[in-house]
Amino acid sequence: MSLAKYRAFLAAVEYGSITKAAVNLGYTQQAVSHMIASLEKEFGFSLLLRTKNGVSPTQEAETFLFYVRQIINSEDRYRELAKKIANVETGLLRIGSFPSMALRWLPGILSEFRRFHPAINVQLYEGAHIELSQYLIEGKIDIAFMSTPVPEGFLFQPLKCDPICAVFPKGHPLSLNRRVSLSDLANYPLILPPEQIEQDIWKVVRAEHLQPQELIRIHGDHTTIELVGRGLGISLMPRLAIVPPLGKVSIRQILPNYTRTLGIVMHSLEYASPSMKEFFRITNQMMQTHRH
Amino acid sequence: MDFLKYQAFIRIVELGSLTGTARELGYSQPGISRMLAALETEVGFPLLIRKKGKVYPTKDALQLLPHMRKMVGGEHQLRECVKKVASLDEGALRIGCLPGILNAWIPKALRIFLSVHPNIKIDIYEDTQPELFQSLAEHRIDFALTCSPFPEKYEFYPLRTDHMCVLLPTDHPLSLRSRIAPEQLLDEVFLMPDAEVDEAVWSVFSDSQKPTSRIRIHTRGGRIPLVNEGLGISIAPCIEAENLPEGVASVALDCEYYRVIGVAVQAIEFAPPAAKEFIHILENGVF
Repeated sequence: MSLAKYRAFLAAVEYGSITKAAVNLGYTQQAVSHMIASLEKEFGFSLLLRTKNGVSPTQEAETFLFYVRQIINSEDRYRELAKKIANVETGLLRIGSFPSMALRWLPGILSEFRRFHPAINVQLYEGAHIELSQYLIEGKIDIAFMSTPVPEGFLFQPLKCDPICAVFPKGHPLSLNRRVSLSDLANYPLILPPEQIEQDIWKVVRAEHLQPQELIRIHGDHTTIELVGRGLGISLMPRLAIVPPLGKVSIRQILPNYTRTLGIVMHSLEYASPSMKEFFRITNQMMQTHRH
Repeated sequence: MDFLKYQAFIRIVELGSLTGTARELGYSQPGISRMLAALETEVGFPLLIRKKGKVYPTKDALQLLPHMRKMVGGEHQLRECVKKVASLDEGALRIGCLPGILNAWIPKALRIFLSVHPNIKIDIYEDTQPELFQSLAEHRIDFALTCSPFPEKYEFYPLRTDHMCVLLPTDHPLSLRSRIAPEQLLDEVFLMPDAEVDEAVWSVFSDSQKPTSRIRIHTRGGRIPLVNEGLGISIAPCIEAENLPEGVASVALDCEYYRVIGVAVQAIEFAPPAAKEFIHILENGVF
């Protein structure tokens, strides 16, 4: 309210006329007069000399005219900048994701999102748990598709429980059972991802105290599947990460059962930008209607 | 209201706490949250991140913060200026004054005014009545210390009446009288006063009975030295007959004519604080 009054006063001074000030501000002349009069009443002295030729600031008003300009100029810059930021915020959405979800879920979600919001640019970053957590904290991405745990202070919305599975070369003796006991795996070479990359898998390894006779560390879902297919060993992989073509491998459930919880992560819905909120809504809707 | 929002936000960022800010600024917690929500709605994006019980500005908010600071800082400075002007710690005063009144009143009133408000800049303009009203109309002076008659379009605050007196050499026989009637002056050598009080002075005589004038004086100060030299007598408003030289005496003129001295302003309501204060001193002064 006071900002509008200062603006009215400054306009009257700059145009030397209340009428012109009113035209430029889009107010009625009466409204401008009223705003200035209300300032005068508040300050306890008059701000404008009103003559036949227009208006000019009183000597008293001259003492703070500089600050009125500073206030109004700052407000202008503030509004311009806020508008610019709001546009950027709504115009760009940066999403981080595990490669598995990026491959399986995001194409559907993104096409649905783009159908409603074609103007919003989406940037997609693939990464492992440790990388996505870091991106979130640093503010490099707005939203992440990942598994728990999420960085402190972030909101996690679970979307799906993803079972950890055993991957065998086709015809492997253990693959003859529908379910495989984890303790049996230790007798065979295991192909596993580096510990810091796939914490979900290594949680299982540790919990079951698996000590494989031979361990091959490989980073990359496709490579792992390919190596398993060639009989180099058995692997443990989240179900969603096991992506076709699966010609030479068999997938079996493990005993005991382990899952990872996949979901969507962001700061908090309350402080999310409109585009983030919208993306969040569409993701939830898609994940409920389509069973992936 | 506008500035409170920005001020509150700046404080929230500085303290990293909504509760702390609410306590400091004397708001309720919901009050401060509402204020923040209003600010975020206004800009259209989040301004704060909550982490581990503290709040931090978003990157976007950090960009806006300097502008908010400038707005709030400017408002603070502006308020200081207003306070100074209103409390007469700063300001200017432009006084217009009729010459005779200037000498008699302004120095005394100024001394009182400046002893209380030493920082007010003062301009004093001595001018004739028509010029004073012209200056008032054009806002070149804040008020005029002048005398009746005055145009109706100005507000007039009477201060005192000013009668006329006769100025004459101390060795003049009439100088011992307590009052002198206009008729007693008809045979005197009359020093005609300057134009502005011309009318006033001459109005004390009836049309048929006017003294003769050989010397016309067109400046205000000129007549007293002439009386002092024994060149003649004159009539002047009493206010100008103070602090006369030794050779000049003043005796009350026995007539009904008097003028009213007072302050003329455009509108006292819109007068600068310093002008109001000065007029107040004049009204309550010892004049």
